Amino acid sequence: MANIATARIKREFKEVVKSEEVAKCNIKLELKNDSFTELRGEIAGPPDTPYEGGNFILDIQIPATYPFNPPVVKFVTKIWHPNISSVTGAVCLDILKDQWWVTSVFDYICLSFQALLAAPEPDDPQDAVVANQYKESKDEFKNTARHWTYAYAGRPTASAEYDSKVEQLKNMGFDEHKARVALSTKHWIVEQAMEHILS
Amino acid sequence: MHLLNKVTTVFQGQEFYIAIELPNRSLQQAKICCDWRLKSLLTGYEHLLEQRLQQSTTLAGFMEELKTIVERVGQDGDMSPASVASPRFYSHLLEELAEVGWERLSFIDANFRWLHLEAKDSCDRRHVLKIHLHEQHPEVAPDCVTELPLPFHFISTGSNSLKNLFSQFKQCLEQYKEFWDAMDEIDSSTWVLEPEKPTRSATVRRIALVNNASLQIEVNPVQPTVLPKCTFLGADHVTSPLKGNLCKNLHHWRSAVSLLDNLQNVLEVTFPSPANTKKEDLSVECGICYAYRLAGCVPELTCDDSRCCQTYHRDCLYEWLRSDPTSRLSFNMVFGECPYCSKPITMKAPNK
Repeated sequence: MANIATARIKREFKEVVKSEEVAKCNIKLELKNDSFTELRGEIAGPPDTPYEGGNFILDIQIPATYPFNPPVVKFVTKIWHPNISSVTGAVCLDILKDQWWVTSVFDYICLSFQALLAAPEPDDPQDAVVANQYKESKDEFKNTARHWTYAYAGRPTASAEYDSKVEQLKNMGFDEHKARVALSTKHWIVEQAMEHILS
Repeated sequence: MHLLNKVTTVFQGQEFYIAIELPNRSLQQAKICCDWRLKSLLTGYEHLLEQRLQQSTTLAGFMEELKTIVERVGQDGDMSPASVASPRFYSHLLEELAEVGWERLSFIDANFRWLHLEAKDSCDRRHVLKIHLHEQHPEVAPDCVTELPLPFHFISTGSNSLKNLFSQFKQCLEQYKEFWDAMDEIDSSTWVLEPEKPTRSATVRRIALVNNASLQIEVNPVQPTVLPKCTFLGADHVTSPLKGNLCKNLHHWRSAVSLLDNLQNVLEVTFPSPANTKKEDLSVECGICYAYRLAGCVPELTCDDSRCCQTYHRDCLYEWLRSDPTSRLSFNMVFGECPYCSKPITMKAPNK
């Protein structure tokens, strides 16, 4: 079956690259190796979301049984989202699991990812901490997600408050990313975040 | 410095002499001479010898390696060198080829056992007769390989000469003239989806009708103008009317008219031809693997819904339906949904 996978990826890849729809939505797809088993996707954060202005890199692994089984996709860029693990980048998306359909193609997958960024589904979470925050305080979630987009996905503007808090912990000798995770988890209260790191 | 291995290595009753020349006393630049039997045995293993020579530190060590290689080669292959026939065989062969005409000879192998003779029929079509000569040629009849639609049997009428064989072959070609005329017409004025490159022996053609339906015919090479065996492939709404036409118009089949014209008259269709269509429009890829040809197969199954008509390879669709929990198998038939339009689709389970 492996030859089916390769043949199909080649065709899909050609079409995605020239597809207008893809160019319009700022989706990029490139090969990581010559064997067409690993691809790198890039999607732009949708407008009017905390992810706006960010570029998110996706790691796409094609199984040998493709297209009968879905590709395995995860976020390389760190992201704060209820359906995406902030640790591993693993995504919870039905079309890549039980709702996989043999005719789904890459542009559809990438568009689904953008849709997921625009409309999180906290009731089917991948990251429980983020999902709780999303449900309890949407504003705090939005600000945190926006801050992560700034820190990891190249969003140009930053929240001065969050940035200074991360800086504060960093100056105390903590790892920047660990500090950010702790602050995001502990409602951006520096003392609690510190306890969280040390516990 | 010149060494000769005085002790001959005896293996399976065969003796090999080798001489190894060592310029500058270094093994790296050693030159090995051996008799032709050993040489022919070692053909293809030169790189291995070279590698061993580089790795060995002493000559004795290398000799040990060489022995192992020869033993292994001896096990794999035939220890007896390629047989050489008696001089008579060759002189006779040359005479025979002169009789047939040297211009007919298109290939001969290094052992003078396999030769290809080329013939042209009355319509200027090239045909190749591949001949394998027996060691006892001409006492024993040669074996022949041809690209004729039916097996070619050489009847040795007293003589096994190449001339006799070749003239029989040429006679045989004329028998199939009508068949090839009919096939050539189909090949040139329709889009033949399969075989990809029809050989002269192929009696089956899959002719494109529209982008998702085709007609497969199997022609009788002896009576090419009679109705061939017809199989329709594709969506029901396209093939059903054609099947109806075939039954209705069967009595209009005329042996005097060419096969292609007969087919078009009886089916009441005009086959798309290279003159007015592109092959890409007719050879539609499989909706699952996105390829047209997959391991020699072309998409054979089509969704029967007239708005969908998506085509699939048998293997691809089966693989998908099998992994889809909503589809079910009963009496060797798989019932599922078309991956594109979700309308019911059925297929026979492949025999595995």
